[in-house]
Amino acid sequence: VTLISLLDALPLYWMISGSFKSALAFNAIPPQIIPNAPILLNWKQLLDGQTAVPSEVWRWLLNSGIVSCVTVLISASVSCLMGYAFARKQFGGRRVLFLLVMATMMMPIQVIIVPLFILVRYLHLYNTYAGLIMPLVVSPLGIVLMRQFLVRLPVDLFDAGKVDGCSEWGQFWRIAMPLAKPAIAAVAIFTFFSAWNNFMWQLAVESSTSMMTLPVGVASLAFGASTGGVNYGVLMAGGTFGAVPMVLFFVAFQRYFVKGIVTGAVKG
Amino acid sequence: LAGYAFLAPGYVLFLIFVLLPVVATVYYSFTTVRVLAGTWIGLQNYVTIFSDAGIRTAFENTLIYVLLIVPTGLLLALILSFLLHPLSQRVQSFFRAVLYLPSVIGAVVMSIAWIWIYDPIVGPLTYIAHKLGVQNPPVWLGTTTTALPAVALVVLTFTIGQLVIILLAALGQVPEELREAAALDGAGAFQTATRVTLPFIRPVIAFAAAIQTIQVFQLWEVIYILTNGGPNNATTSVVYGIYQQAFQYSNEGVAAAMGVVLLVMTALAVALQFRLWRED
Repeated sequence: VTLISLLDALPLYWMISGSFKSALAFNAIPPQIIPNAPILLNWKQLLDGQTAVPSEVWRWLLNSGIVSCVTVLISASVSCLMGYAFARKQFGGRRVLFLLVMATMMMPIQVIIVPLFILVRYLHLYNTYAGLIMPLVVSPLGIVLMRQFLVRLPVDLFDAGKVDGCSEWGQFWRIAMPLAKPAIAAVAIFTFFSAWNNFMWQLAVESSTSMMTLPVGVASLAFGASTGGVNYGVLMAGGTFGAVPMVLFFVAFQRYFVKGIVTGAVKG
Repeated sequence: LAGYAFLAPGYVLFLIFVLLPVVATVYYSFTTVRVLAGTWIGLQNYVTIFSDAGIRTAFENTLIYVLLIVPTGLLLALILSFLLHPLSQRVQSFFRAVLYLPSVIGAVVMSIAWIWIYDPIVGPLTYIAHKLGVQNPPVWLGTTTTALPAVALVVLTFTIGQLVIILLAALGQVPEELREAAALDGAGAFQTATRVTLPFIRPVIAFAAAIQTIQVFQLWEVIYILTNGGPNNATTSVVYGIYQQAFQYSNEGVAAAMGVVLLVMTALAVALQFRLWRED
């Protein structure tokens, strides 16, 4: 087990240690497992943007942060509101409307990327934050998860609320939402994660270097490299830089990650 | 009535950004796309899908990827979970985190690490091959026979973690009495595992297989970064093909038709998953 786990994490170590290697050390045979003479040049070039391809890593980080945070804010609100309506309200067409959401739950975004792209260009949102964000703000999976959670809350709670004079909004905001905090956290984390890593859409909508999100930017370093000589040092530093935010995010919310994956599988 | 008020804002967004594009994809798949409305060309895009060698390869490769990655991933994950399960909670969660880390970091960054590992001259893999006595190790990503397995290996590294998490959780739900009863009846550890535990968690295994299959259907970042679909289309996939048709060749109609087929493939996998689920 230890061996396989280590093998699985090895590429990561390799990338990080590589980011401290000089061009000479990269060509060394045998490969240096720990860089003999670690250098900071790669990092300096990457962070100052003195690379063969334009690099604006801080800007990319900021872009990814903005896109993912705004997506989460809107998406979580939408999931809560819609999940609440589907779970606790009676209205005509509820079943059909919910089925439509369910049906698109597992659909990959690549299926609808052509019309989305045309739509975003038509709305003049190409190469803008809004264009990056809008197609991602509705998460069918988030809606379904919220609905499944809210439907299990006891009716008595809401009846008691009504007796005490709670408005419709009050029932949602004061009764349902505080109880749903763990579900909201799970949905928010999962949405953040998928917004951050939605590579094809980001790649399609971003055209200028300064609008790139972190994964797209880091990948662009690889492409500049593949045409000329490969500067592995800078590339590995870029990869490491791209990995850091998600690792921190994972460490902070590890509990929810595991719970999120498991609830789908074991409870069914 | 309040129901509609809670539903409406989100549903409008859902209609615009999910449902409408689905309908549009189906429509576009029968047209050549110019600006907003396309020109109707009937089934021609679908004919292209099946007659264009490159696109056909994309579909074939995707199936090969599934056949290569899903069984290997499941088998490895099963072994890992069985070995991890008896260990203490703390040890379990440590290994779970290590194994899940690559998928947190994401396909893009992981692929970047592998660019160097697969480098035919200075890459560590070539060095290891030399050490093992291989005279002329292949250019891993540049040879038609090795490129696809090489890509599959990368995918395996960042999908195995979630399988282990799912299977570990399932093992935790197997009643202890079941195993004890088997032991009393004289079953060895291996027999207990194959005769008692495995059948018990079978639906979860099916679920894990379905999840991974759907993930492999969407495989493309690794290809985009490592191989560009080459050499000679050896590593291309359906989604990579969609990307090429839509954003490199301006064949939006063909891309839409491929999207429709991908949608059907995903739906079939989901349906299969539900069926296996219900059997127990």
